[in-house]
Amino acid sequence: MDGDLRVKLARIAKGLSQEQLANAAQVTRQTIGLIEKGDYNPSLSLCIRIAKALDKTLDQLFWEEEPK
Amino acid sequence: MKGPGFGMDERTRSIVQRVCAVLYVLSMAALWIDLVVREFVLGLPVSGYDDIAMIFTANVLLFIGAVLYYGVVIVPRIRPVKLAAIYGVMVLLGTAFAAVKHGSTSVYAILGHLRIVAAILGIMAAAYALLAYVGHRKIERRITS
Repeated sequence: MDGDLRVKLARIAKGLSQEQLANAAQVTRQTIGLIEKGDYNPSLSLCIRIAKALDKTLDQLFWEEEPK
Repeated sequence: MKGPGFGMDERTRSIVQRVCAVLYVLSMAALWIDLVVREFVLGLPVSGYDDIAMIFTANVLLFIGAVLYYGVVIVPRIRPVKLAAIYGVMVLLGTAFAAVKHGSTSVYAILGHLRIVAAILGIMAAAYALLAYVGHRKIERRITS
């Protein structure tokens, strides 16, 4: 599954809006929107903040398996 | 939960940094063109715009210094012979430029330019080498600590 879509699904599963996730990760709502769309590559520290806010690991949200 | 400070997060900061970098280069280029036009096209006296020239020069020199200090550009190791050759060529070019600009034809005047250019370039090279060395050491210390 697309890593960016996983962020969106995890956020919805946790019942958070983009705004709430943005506040938890200390970024703007637009940045979360762009990450979910795959139009912005977040830094490692932001990935960690997002993962913590969504109670997920970095692997679960951002790791991409190599196609076999 | 607190949001990004001043409405800036890493994405917006990166955009602002890119915009500032592009505008800085454009401003410096425009300033340089302005100086060249004033001096060589309009033939205006230097005293009329030497403050602008000083700001431009200081800006460019500080920019190069900061780039070297923060290790943005990794300067390759250059052998002393090659370094001396580069320095010699720069001194000759600088002297030729100064001689043409001031219309100097006598050997005495050209040697005078040579001395000044060699001293300025020598001080600049030493200062930049020191900055690059100090910056490099600082980064290495942070890595190893």
